[in-house]
Amino acid sequence: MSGIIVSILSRMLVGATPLALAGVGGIFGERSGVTNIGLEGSMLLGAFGAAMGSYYFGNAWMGLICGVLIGLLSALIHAYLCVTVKIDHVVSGLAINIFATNLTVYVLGAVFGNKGNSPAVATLPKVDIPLLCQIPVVGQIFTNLSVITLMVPVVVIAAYWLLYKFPFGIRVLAAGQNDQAAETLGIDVGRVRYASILIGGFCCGLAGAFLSIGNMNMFVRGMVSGRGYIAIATILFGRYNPIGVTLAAVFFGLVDALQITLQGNVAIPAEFIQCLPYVLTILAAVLAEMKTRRGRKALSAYSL
Amino acid sequence: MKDKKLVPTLADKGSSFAREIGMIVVNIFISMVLGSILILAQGENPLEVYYYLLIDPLTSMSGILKVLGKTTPLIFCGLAATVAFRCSLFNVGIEGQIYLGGLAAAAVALYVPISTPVLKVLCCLAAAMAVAGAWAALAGWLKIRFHVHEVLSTIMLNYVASAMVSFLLLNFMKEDGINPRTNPFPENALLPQLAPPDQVNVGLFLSLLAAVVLIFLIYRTSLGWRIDAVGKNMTAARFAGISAKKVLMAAICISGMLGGLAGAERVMGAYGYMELNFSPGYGYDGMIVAVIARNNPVGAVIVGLFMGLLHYGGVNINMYTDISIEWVYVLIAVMFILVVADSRIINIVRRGFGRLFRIGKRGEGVK
Amino acid sequence: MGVRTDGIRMNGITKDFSGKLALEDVSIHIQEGTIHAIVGENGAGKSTLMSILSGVLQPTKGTISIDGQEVRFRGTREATRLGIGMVYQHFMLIPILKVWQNIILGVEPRKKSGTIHQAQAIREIQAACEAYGTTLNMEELVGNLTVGEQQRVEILKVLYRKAKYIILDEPTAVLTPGEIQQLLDSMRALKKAGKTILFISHKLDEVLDVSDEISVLRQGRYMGTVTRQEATKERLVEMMVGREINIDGKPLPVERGNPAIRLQNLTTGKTEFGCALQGISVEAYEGEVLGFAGVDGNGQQELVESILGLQKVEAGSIMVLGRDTTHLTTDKIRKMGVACIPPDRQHEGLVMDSSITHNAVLGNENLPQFRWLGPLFSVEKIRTRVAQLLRDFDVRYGSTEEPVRDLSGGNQQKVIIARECALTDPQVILAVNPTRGLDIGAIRFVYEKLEEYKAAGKCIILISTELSEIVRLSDRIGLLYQGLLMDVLENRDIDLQEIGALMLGGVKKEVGP
Repeated sequence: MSGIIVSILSRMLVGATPLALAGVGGIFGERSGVTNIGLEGSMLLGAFGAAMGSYYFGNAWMGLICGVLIGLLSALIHAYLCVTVKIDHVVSGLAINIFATNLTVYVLGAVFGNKGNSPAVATLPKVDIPLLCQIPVVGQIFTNLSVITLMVPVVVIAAYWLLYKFPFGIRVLAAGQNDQAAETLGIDVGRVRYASILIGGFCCGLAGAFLSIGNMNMFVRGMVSGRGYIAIATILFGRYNPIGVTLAAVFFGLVDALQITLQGNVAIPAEFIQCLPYVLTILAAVLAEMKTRRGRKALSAYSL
Repeated sequence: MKDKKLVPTLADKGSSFAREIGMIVVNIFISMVLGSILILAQGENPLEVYYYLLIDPLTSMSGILKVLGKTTPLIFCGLAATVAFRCSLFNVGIEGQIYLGGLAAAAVALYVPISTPVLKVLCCLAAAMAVAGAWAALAGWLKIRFHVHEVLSTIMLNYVASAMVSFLLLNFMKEDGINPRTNPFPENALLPQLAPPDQVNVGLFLSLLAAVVLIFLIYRTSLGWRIDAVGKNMTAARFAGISAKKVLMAAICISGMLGGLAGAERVMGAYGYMELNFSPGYGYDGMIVAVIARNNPVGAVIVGLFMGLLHYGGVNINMYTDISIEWVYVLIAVMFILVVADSRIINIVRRGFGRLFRIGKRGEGVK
Repeated sequence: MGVRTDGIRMNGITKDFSGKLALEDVSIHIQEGTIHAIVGENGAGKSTLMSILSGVLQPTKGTISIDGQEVRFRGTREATRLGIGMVYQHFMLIPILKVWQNIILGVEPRKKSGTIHQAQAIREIQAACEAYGTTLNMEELVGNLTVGEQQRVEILKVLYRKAKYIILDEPTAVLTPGEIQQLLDSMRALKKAGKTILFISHKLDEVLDVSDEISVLRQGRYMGTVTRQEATKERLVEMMVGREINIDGKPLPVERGNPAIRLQNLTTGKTEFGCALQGISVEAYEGEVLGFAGVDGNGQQELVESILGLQKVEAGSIMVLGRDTTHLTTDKIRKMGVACIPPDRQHEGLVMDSSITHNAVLGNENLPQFRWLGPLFSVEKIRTRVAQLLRDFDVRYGSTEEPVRDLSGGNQQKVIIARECALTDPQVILAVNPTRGLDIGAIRFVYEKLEEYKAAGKCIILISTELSEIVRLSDRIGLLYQGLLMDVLENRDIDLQEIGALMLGGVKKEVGP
């Protein structure tokens, strides 16, 4: 029994990592007033870039850098389309997703002759957390964690700090709430938005890299499978607050872990359990709306 | 003062209509130029590739039939996306509606005992429309009642629909054997194929009929005019007494029904059975068609045909060159972005070049 | 006597908005260290002048000099640098941020690490607070503050940026009487601290209470400056409006019929930018024009929207033509015979990108007169009728299918009026700013039409920011202030004294002899 629980919790961390990264990164763009449903595409491109980088340089760390750079590039495109060219944010995000889906398969085919997956590549190291991993029974959870998973707390704290303690952060909040007011105060809203979206791209690159070279050892076609959209749900659920979003990501990670572990073990059909994260996402959106309606007081930037 | 005219002639819309079409063509052309870059990177000849993409399929009857075979679902989905877009709704859930429509049609085809072919076919189509329409209505309800953005809800519902269809098909409707598909439909539930073994079937005419009906709806009925009004300015529509809620629901339901028909046509016409994951992304293609056609239902048919050409052309290219079909999809994605941006990207680039040249001419030194 | 320092001089300021002169050769001298009021009716040009002074707009002609130096602002940042701070009528605040964050936004003091130096910020703000003589809870979210407190935050923003010249644009429009007193006291405190205050208002009582000098604008022109000693209410009203009220005609005397609209204790809820109605009770009759005067933002929008069924009614009731319509949908209310000319032509009245035809029958596509086959309409019939309407209302257009965006503002307004009043036969007409953007000929045309409708026994509720329009057309005039119905006057030989009263707003009716 304890073996199953440990297994679930371990899987939970694996599932939560990409969601937390993409979610926390995505907060900035959303908060600054630019919707980004292209997180899915950015993650996919990041995953692909990381795998390719690892392949060409024979080194997973170079792969990580490539993944992050590609993630940034995709975010730059989204920022350009939304802020400079000023097309509809949703359309831009969709375009990036479609673009990413097809470009990755195209390059896979062109370079490796295999449209399903890349060859195996060098992966990022997995470590055990000293001390914690020695706790009897529970300690299992803290073994064999990808370095990217260990980066998550750093990213979350950095994001929290950036958003609430730095001038940039309150300018992001201002730009999203009332860009006219921000402009009268001399804030360049366009620049703030570019920066915010790029932060999202950086994090999506990390998240994607985790998927291909952190958790696995190759790029598989379509490997993000909806996580980018669930990341959006974590942002809603977590009330646009880095701590909240991380907790939401952990929750969804737990659901995912349960889904994998219970499949085949329980009488409930596999498909029902597979549905769970997506149904919960919709519920998350509904609950977020209910909370907004019930609150008569102003919504704090800090509220959970 | 110009004369007052009652009937609009093409000359009236002269400047803006021609400009719109011109813009679209220019953007398509630019995307093709960009696409050539990838071709060159692979060491192939762009002109050769474009020949096999656009011209070769049209040089033979069998080629044309194959193109038409690919076109029907694109027209249905293009129309579905068009009616939603006209109401400012993003129905990204067409994909799920296709599968549910297909499953509903399959269920009726396989299990409802009706003998007359026409009646049976109509029942299958009606079932597809009803189920898919209801699924779309669910997203509509979530938007109206809870302000859940339809992009999020429809994408999530796509996954749910996929799981549901998978569950029902594999557990209740599967044929014996390893394939994840149903038994072949009985003869009287099939849409006759026009030129077997190519997949083009009577469904093509159904899609054109749907186009005619939708065109009529949009331009000549009060619902059509109201969908337009709500899509362009919900506030003014509400002030005028139009119920935005009812109109939004109607728009998304119609959109869903058209998606359902797309699925039904595939299973009843192209394949003759229902298989899991038979759609290579028609739902998303439909959105692309609608956007390139600028939300114009007539344009949706034309662009749908063009898209069908591109899709089959993609297969064709792969037979003669090393370029994979995904390249065509990338090309289409680029076309999509350029058309959406309309003239804006072009203007920005033009202004940038202008500044470069001006500095050069004056020779005053940079800045 | 000390040497008079120069302050701000505006010389020959002219602002031309593509043919429309918002300001014409305005020259005002604002002395340093005074409270200088600028008054005028709606549309006199006060806001435009202040936009130029704060750097938002550029003048077409004319110069500005500060402390003797000629200046040219290229944006708000420069104006701020030169010591000009503007407190806008519609606050530029971020509700989800705290008070201190809103104040320092854009000029945040930083620690060496780059993070915001909260302690220093609060210290500096407190200093400004003392000079200003006020206290605020720095940690409170701005969204939770009262309107009066939010205004104090706006003023602190300006003080924090070391403004020497503070412009207050209609600051009392949204305050309660108690808050108004506080604001006036603050202004005096600021003046004592050496600041110069520019006080834009049309509320003469307040202006006379606190100002040292008062300048008057009328229809874009500068009418003169008077000192507080010289100024009287009558003199100011005369300068603002002129001896004749420039209205040709009086409301047509028509036999009043039954009550067409009855509002009883109508109360709506508070919305983010709106004004809640607080127990409005009034009746409007067939064959009369009931006008509502006053500055936008005092409940006019909510009044129209609740009658039309677009806004939820929290308490009280609305009766239209004998039926309780408090909770009916807009659709049903309109079918009863209620028409509305909405305040915002572009966002509430028309679908700009749709054709004239679409707009002319918006919501009325299914009228029996258009029926063709079953529930379908005949586009031909619609187009013919639309062309007829456009002819009747003398609208200049190219084709009925061109987008309504291509029409001039005045013609757009005519399309709306034609649709609302002539396409169907409404019994009740809610007209909000019906002649906005129209030229003299068109205005006369609309006035004639409205009188025609009144004579035919219709009930017209007229809401307008143009005082002359209200006085010209209304049989009775109601005063809305902060969601309360202050008074309803009969429009009989109204004189300047009463016009002054109308323009003051918020003043209780004096019980006369």
